[in-house]
Amino acid sequence: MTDKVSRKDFLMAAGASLLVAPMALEGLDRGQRAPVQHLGEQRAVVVDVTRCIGCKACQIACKVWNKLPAEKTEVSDGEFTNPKFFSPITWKIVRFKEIGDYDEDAAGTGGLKWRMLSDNCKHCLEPSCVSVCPAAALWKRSDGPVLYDLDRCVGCGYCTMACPWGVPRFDDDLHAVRKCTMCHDRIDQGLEPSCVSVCPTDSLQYMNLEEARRVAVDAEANGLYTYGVDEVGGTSWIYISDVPFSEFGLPEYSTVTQKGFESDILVKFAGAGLFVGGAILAAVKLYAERREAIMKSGSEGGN
Amino acid sequence: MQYRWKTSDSPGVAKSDLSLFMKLYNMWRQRGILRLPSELFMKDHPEEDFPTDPMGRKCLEYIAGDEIWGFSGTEKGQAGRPCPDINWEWYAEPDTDNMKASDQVYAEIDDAVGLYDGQYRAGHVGYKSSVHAYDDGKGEILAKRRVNNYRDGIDKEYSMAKNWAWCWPKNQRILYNKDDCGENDTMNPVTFKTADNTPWGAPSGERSNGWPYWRQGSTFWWGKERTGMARIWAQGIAKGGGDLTKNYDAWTGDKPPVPGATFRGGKLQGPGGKPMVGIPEHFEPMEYPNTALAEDYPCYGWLYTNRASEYEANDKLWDDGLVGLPEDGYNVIWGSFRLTEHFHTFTRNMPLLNEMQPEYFIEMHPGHAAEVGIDSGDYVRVESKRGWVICKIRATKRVGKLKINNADYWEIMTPFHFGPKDMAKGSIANFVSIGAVDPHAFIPETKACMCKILKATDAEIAAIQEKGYHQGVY
Amino acid sequence: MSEFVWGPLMATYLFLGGLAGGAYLISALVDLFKGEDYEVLSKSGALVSTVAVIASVVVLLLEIKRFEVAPLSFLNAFRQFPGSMISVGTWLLTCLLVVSVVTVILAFFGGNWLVRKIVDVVGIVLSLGTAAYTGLVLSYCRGIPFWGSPFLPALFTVSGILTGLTLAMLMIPVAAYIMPKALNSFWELYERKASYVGMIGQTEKYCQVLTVVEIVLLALYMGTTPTTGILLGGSSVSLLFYVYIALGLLLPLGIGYLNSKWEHQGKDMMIVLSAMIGQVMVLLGGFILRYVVLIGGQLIH
Repeated sequence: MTDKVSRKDFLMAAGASLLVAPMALEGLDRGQRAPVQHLGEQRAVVVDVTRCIGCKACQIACKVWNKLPAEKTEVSDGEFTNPKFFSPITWKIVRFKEIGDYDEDAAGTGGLKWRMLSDNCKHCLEPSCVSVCPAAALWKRSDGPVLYDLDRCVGCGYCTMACPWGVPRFDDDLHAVRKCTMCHDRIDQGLEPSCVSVCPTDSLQYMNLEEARRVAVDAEANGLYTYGVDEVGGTSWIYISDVPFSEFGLPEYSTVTQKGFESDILVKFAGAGLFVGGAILAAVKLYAERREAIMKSGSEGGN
Repeated sequence: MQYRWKTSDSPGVAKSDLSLFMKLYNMWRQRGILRLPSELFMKDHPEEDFPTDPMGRKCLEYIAGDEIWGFSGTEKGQAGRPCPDINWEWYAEPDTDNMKASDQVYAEIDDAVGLYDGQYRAGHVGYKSSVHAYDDGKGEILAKRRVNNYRDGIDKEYSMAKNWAWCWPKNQRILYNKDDCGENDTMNPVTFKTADNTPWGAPSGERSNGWPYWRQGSTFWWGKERTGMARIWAQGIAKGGGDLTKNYDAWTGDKPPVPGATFRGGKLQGPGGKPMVGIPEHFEPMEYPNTALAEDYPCYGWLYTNRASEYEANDKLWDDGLVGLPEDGYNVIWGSFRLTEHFHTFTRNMPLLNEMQPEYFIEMHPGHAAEVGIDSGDYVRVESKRGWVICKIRATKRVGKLKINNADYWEIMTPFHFGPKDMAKGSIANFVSIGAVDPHAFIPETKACMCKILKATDAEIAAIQEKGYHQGVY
Repeated sequence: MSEFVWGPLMATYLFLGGLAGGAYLISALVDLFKGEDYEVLSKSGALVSTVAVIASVVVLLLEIKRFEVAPLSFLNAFRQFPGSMISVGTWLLTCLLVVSVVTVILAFFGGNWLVRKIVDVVGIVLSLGTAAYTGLVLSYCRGIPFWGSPFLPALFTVSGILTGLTLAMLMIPVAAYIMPKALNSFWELYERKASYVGMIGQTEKYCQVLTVVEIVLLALYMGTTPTTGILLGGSSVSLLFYVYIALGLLLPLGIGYLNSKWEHQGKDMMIVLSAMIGQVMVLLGGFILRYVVLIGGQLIH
């Protein structure tokens, strides 16, 4: 029943987007909150930045459970984020960010804040990677995790580009893509994901998606920032913070899902194509006439 | 996985038997065949079985009172943040005269941790918490305990004999000082403001920053205390020399602040013999940024006692000319700290930890770095009167400019875990630090000294890039 | 870990894909509307399209390298046909390959008039789709805002048509020299300098219009995409970008203008040579455009 309604909703949304998209350049960006299917069945993790102390236990726990080797890194900047970005063997990183300044001049600005955000695959409710994969090598499991099958992977690397956060990373040895699996093997055993299980301050909490979204909405009501309730149609990892998420380098996204984004681009492109096609034809016609006129006058004058 | 010293590498592709068991263990864990007791407990027991901690979390065992995160002022807390009301009168040094050397060490540690931890606070005379390293009553080191019975049903169910060689050092550390950077963001751990010319630190109390500060005319150090040290100092002053305001005057005159101490050549000299209990320690490090302040608030390093054993190391430093003074250009404050990722120096063979903290560095304020003419990731030469190291810098605002006695001083911070061997290579931080000791506990003053920062030359950069470290002593 | 997931080979793939689409589009349009006079251009376009499709597929396989691990894994790319742009592209390229081969066979060995027209019409849809796909596949990437503009596929389509037309023209004398026997009609056309020069004059008219449209679309694209600065200055590809503007856009325009001046002064050889220089520059520019956009986007990321 829910399935039918949501499909209808989707079709209506798609139809509406087809109508609305060409009118405004922002397209679908001012949409309603995306409908979410089967909230109760999905598992989610709430990441509370205000509680994180930056111990990086989650980063280690991820590597230990998934048996990922260490990377060769080096000191490059003032923050303790290391490795700097996701890789085929680094599925989770803790992003450190200094905000503000200790300087005397900045006394009125609230001083220095140091925030840490435990970052990994957000396990979107309607994942871009799943949507763009040509081989159906990625899929969204009904209880939350976005999983992948290396045997099916074509190695095109399209998901590494399509993911809004660059989570899937290309492995040059396998010529395939690897990423966080939300510890689906632990979830199957009734356990929390590895990173959640080691968090000493409950900055990471494992719960139902419905509950997680409620927690996030409550946090919003308390003046905190949230990330993942609306972004790209909602995610299974929901972030709560007292500083804007742009500080951590997380881009701002609208509620538009990958499908909506694609149809938006396609509609605009079709419009542009029609316009450009017409323009080309008109230009060719004008050009030919003008050229003939010039040649005629030129040949007349020349002779 | 090897902490530090491996006897030899296996021949060829051979691996130790442990690696086979690790594989088996991982496989069983992955397939859910093997469960940890904690996981089993969470699964088998209804939620009501769990005690609740102050944050509403269910937990197996709750000892620490409500002082773990963001809570203070409890009466029952044993670990965590100290209660400020230490009763100095009740403090007694541990009687270690008849102990074996190892027992002495543990008893001293236990006692020191107790001090830091607020054990001797009002209303808890003689109370020893269960969380410690040495059992006074039985006179045994807890790490040596071999009690194989279970304390309660839960222990029995999961075969965990918690009195078997378990040591509970009361050694809490604040990781990256979250609270200090957190709820009260007006805090500033590095800038001691002197708006109305008080000798140290924040005068008017607005900057309750987790760091103790001195309020003129008071016998107490103020501030939201974390370690309890400040209160101990203050009490110590009150006990040893009476009102500190008077002391302050006394020290600038010709009268010694502590009975028996004498001045010589403008410098304070100690009385000799037993170390004095109650003298304010660490007011100034032995190497000081500001001479005027250092003369007003002298430190142990300045006490001269005719080479009494306790002071020998300090005297030798003066005699050998290994103390760098701001007048000689050593005007950057050097401090050292630990990283969360490394345990002392033992973990530099563990790949996952090295991935997170791969090499030695110093932290510098971006403004300071700009003055030196470098940027994050560039190399500098850190130089003291004793030695020098070449290392990378991390430009960060976590360190900054300290205002001490109305003069500005740049501060740098550095971890000390690194050395020329193992995976995470780096210069040795203690080539720069000073060997001054506190004559009471012989704790070296390796956390603070004065240094110079120079831009590394091309030859030095080439050397460190080749070897992974570059350092020297004078 | 290589620096970029999609490197120069992927740029070549996009370039060849767009070029194949463009070349086939020209071939079919010429066959439909111009008839006998331009038969050689039609043949050349179909040939170029066939070769370019095959080459693009080979280049793509070389780029993704997955066949080293799982030889037949690329077949999986056909799975998600309407859903995934790459899958759509895989089908488009496959169909375009079939259509191109059929067109070549029909053109060189004779064939039913009606069949040829039907194949042309089908091919026009496929070729436009292929040319557009090379841009859409990038603009669908949400993680790289630099590509997320509807003007990027438009730009790539126009550039694809331009390069396709250019290479089809360029191949006439080149192929005539290489295989005068096999491609007899090419040689005959080229021998009659006047008619080839006339064809150059006719096609350059279109080329110039397409170039101007490309410049307009480039401006629109640069105006709507958020991180244009990566191309304009400071990064490793900005120099290449200016090379593209100078050599790929402005130089051919200038050459076209010169050629139109020379057209009636009997400087046939000059026109052929300068046109060839312009054509090579257009092709070079087409490749640089792909490369610059591809690498520029990943640089920001």
